[in-house]
Amino acid sequence: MTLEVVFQAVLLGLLQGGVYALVACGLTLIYGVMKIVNFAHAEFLTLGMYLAISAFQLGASPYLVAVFIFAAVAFLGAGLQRVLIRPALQHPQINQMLITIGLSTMMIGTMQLIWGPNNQVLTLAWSSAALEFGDVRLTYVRLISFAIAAIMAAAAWWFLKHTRTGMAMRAASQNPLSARLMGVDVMRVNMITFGVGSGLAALAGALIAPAFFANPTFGTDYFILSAFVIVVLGTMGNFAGALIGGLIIGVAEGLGGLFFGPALRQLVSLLLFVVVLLFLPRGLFKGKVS
Amino acid sequence: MKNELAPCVDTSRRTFVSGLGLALGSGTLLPAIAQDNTVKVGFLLPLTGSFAESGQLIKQAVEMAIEEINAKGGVKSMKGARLTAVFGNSTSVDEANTETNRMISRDKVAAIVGAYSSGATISATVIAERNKVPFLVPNALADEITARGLKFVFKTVPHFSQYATNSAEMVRQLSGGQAKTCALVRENNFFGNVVGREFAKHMPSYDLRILKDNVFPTNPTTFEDVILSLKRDNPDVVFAGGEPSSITLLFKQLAELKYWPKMGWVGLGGGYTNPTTWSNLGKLGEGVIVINDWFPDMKMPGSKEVNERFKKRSNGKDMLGNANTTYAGVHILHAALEKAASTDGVAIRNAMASLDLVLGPQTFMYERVKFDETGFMPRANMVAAQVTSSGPKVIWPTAYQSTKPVWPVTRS
Repeated sequence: MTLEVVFQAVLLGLLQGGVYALVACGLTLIYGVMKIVNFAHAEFLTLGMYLAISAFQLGASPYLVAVFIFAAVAFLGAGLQRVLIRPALQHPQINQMLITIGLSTMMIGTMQLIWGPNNQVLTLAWSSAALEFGDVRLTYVRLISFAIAAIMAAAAWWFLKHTRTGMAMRAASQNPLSARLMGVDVMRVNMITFGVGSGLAALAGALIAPAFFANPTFGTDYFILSAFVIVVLGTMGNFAGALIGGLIIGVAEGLGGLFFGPALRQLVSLLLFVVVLLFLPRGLFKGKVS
Repeated sequence: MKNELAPCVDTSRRTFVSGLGLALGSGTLLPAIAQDNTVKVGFLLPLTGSFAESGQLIKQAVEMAIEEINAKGGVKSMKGARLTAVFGNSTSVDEANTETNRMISRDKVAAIVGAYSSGATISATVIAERNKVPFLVPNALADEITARGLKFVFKTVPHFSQYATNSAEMVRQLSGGQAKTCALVRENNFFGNVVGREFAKHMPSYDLRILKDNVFPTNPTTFEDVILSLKRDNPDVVFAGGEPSSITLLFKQLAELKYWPKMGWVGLGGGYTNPTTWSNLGKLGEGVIVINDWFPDMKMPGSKEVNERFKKRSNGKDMLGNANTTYAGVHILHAALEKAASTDGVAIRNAMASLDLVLGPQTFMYERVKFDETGFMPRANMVAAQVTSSGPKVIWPTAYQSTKPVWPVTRS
């Protein structure tokens, strides 16, 4: 077990964690503001992957269209919230969550109808090119995904802190009633939040498309469990928590896989999750929402 | 035109149904031949989820077989009854069980074919046995399937142990005895455990030492750990089992992390022969050797023709990844139905057990169809093909070779 191998595992874990973080951010944002768990979140990730692959087949680089995919899916997400979830606002939150479960099933089926059940890949000419130092290899694909994920997360963070809409979203997440009394259009804020959250998931999908492959249940099979773990670890609703949590889980899985074998890689991250919750039951940020 | 016999038919149907209700107590429920004279056959396949690629390809082969059978007159001994397929999803053991129960009790299938993954098959066959419904396994490999004394289970694909011994023999021949070390890469599921067990048992007699048994979880998001481990151990040959999804990811990451075994990579099982995987991976998959019981370029009667017919339906994909074995399986089942001339489970079971076919559509891959007392159909040697830029080409045994093998396989 050389130091280089451990170093490689940590770095790969960080890169993976960055993508996890982006997926988790969207989920935690939606929870923070709307207080519902979006069970269709994984499907927005998958949708982002498919859109990137289709764009690539038409000749566009996935990195160039990533931002457009974000915008397109954000609009779609906002629309879906308006049409499917807002009507249930008067009902208990559990109803809204059940609607997202239904949405998840519908989206998987629709994606299967449009793109078929087979795996689809996106292979760039430079997919395997990597930065090498010593024995450590970090592919440019992963480095770029991490960089864009970091930039978008920072942009979202800035948006939340420094724009009126962002402040309205934070106000609504802290206390919807007071926010409404202060003149915040909570209905509109909810719609925008769902849009931004799903857009972030789709963006993550577009960024990881070259490194993986797409099939209709990819999001649910591969990413959603980690996303939920990260959201809870970083405190539900806390944006920074999701970012940090993502990196922690990514590295924990990387080291876990190295020391205990690939089959147990999630054991380490989940064990860590359990231990943290034992001492900090409301997550790393102790229940504070940003 | 009013059918004056209608009231009589209605009454007799009512009596039939109540008689059926009484018959429930006796244990054997005769699957009803529907009013429009069809025989229903259940097909358990992974139609969604990470194995969907395989399941959907097999589904196309099933549909092709059924169309051919019905076009030639269906089951002639049952007044030309048409075969219809009832598809059920077998992405997990629980799902397979639920679907099996549904097919038997609600759809009243005469027989079941499936279930692709060994774990789901082991479980679903127990349910079929209990209900005395014959279960044909043309696409799951574990030896255990026919080793439990079940009377209604029949298996046309080789036992996995044969994959292990044949691939070791092939490596010995290709490398002239030079290959001494190997590593395993397999999934953490029932089939993966069978792979691990059989290789551990048989490799010593072929002078191959297993350096590490690398196990990866189902739905892995990364293969870094496996690849880093392989890099450290540096085996001569890697033997691997997996499914199209995991194989696609694995080979992408092999290129990313720049690892390739010293001599070659051998893939085992339906996942490795799925054509979509290799067309997706392109250059990344070239040189991989896959072991199977049939390839389209083999010189068997009707091989090429049936593959061409299939390619028309499947958008150019070869009939591999167990689509071939399941296609043959449907024809074998049809032969049993003809012989049984009934949808009674016991009659079909006895017909299957006494089959001895040397003619028929399945001869494109089976010279002789005959099941032994455990329900297993003994087979000749496996065949190995190497993935090239124009698809997999048979390289072993030398008698069936359609191109010279590249060995050792090197990557820049």
